[in-house]
Amino acid sequence: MKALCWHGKNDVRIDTVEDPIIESPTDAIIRVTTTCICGSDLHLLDGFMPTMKAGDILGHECMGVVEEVGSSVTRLKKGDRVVVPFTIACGECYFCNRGLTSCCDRSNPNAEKAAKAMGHSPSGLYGYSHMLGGFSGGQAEYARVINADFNAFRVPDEMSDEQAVFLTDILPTGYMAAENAQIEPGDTVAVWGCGPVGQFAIQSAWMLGAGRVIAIDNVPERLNLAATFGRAETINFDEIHKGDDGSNVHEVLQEMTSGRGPDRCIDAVGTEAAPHGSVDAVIDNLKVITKLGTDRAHALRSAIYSCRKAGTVSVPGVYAGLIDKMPMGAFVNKGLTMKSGQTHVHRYVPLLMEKIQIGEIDPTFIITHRAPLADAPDLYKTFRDKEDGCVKVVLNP
Amino acid sequence: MKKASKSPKQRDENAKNKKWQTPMDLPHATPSEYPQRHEQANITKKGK
Repeated sequence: MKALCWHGKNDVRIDTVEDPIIESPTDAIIRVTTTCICGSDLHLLDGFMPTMKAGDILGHECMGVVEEVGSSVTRLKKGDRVVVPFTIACGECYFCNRGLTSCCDRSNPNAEKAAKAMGHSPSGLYGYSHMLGGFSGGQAEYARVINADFNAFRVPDEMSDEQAVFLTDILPTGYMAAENAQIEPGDTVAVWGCGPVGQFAIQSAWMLGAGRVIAIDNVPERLNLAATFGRAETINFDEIHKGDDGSNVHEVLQEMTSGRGPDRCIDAVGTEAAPHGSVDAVIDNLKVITKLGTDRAHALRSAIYSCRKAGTVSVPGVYAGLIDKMPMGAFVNKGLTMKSGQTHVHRYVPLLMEKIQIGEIDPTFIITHRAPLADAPDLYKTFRDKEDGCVKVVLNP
Repeated sequence: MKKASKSPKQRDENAKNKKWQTPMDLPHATPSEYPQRHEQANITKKGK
C-alpha cells in the first residue's frame, strides 16, 4: 500500500510499504477513507520529537471502513465505518476506568522509555514516535486499529467523513482544552493560537458558557477564521509589536479587560511558538537551534503572565521536553491553576458526535485543503509554512 | 518610543485606541457556503 513515511527532519515521502495485518486477535484493519495532517505532525516534520525512525508511517487522525477483524473482536464487523482516536487505550486499567484514556497504563509497549523521559508513560499513540509505542499511523491506504473494540467508534451513516474525522483528535482536544479551562458563565477566555485546535477551543468555550472570547495569533486568515466562524475578538501580535507605543499582547489584554486579565487562558500553540516578537521568544529560538533547549514556550509564559488572579491556564499545546524562564512567581502569587494533557478522546467522542448530529457544531468550517494522499508531502510544508491560507488539510487515500 | 503605561487611567485611555478587532458580523453560513465564506474572510489565498 501507499503511506506517508517520515525519513528525517523536513523529509516525508509517499512510500510503498507492506499492508498492515492482524497481529493480535483484538486488532482490526481499516481501509482509510479520510485522514488529516495535524499540527502536532509538524513537530515530527520539524524534528522536535525524539525516537522517530526512518520509514515510520505518520498520521493519528484517520477514519475508514473495517476490512478485517481479529477473532476476539466482537463489537465491530467488516463494512463498519469508524473513527479511530489518536490515543490508544486498553479500556481496563486504573486510568481507563476513570475515563483518563490518554494516560492508559497498558497501551504503550515502550513505556519504560517514556517513563525515563517523563516519570511515567502516557498511552501509546498512532504515528507519533517509538517512545509512544512506535505504532504505524493512518496517513496510509490501510491502518491497523489496536484493541479495536475499545479504540474505534462507529459513525452514523448520515454523518460525512469530513464531519466525523476531527473526532479522532482536534475537536475533542479543543473541547477538553475549554473544559480544562474551568470556564464559568460569562468568563472572558483568551486563546493563544488560531490553528485547528485553537479554533475548536474557541467554539467549545462558547459551548461551555464563555461571555467573551479573544483569539491571539499573527496569521491574518486564521484570525479571520476566529472572527467569522468563532465570533472572537482578535489580536494580531505582529501588528501590536509593530506599533510605536511599546505595547504588547499583555497590555492589550489588560486594556480589553479593565486591567483584570482574561479569566481563562488557553495555550493552543505549544512547543513551536513564533520565534520572534519578544526577548524570551528570541532566546528560546536560539536555544532550540543550538540544541541547548527543546521548546519555544513563549505562548505559555504569556498566558500565565496575562491570566487574571485565581484564573486558569489550560494547555492543549504539545510540549516536547524542558522549559526554562517559566514565570512560576506569577503562577504561584496569582494563585493560578494549570491543566493539561493529551486528550482523553474516548471520553468525548459520544458527546461531540451528538453535538455534530444536532448541529450544535459543524467542524468542517476549518477545512481549507482537500487532496489525495500523494499530495501529502507538499501539503505538510504548505501547512507548516502557513502558505495558501492553509488551516486544515484533509487527505483521501 | 512611547512606553505603554500600566496605570489604570492610561490603560483605559489606551483602550480607546482599540488595538484589537471585533468579531466579523457575517450572516450564518451553511457548509456548502463555507468556501465562499472563506474567500469573503480572506481565509484562503489559493495560488500564492
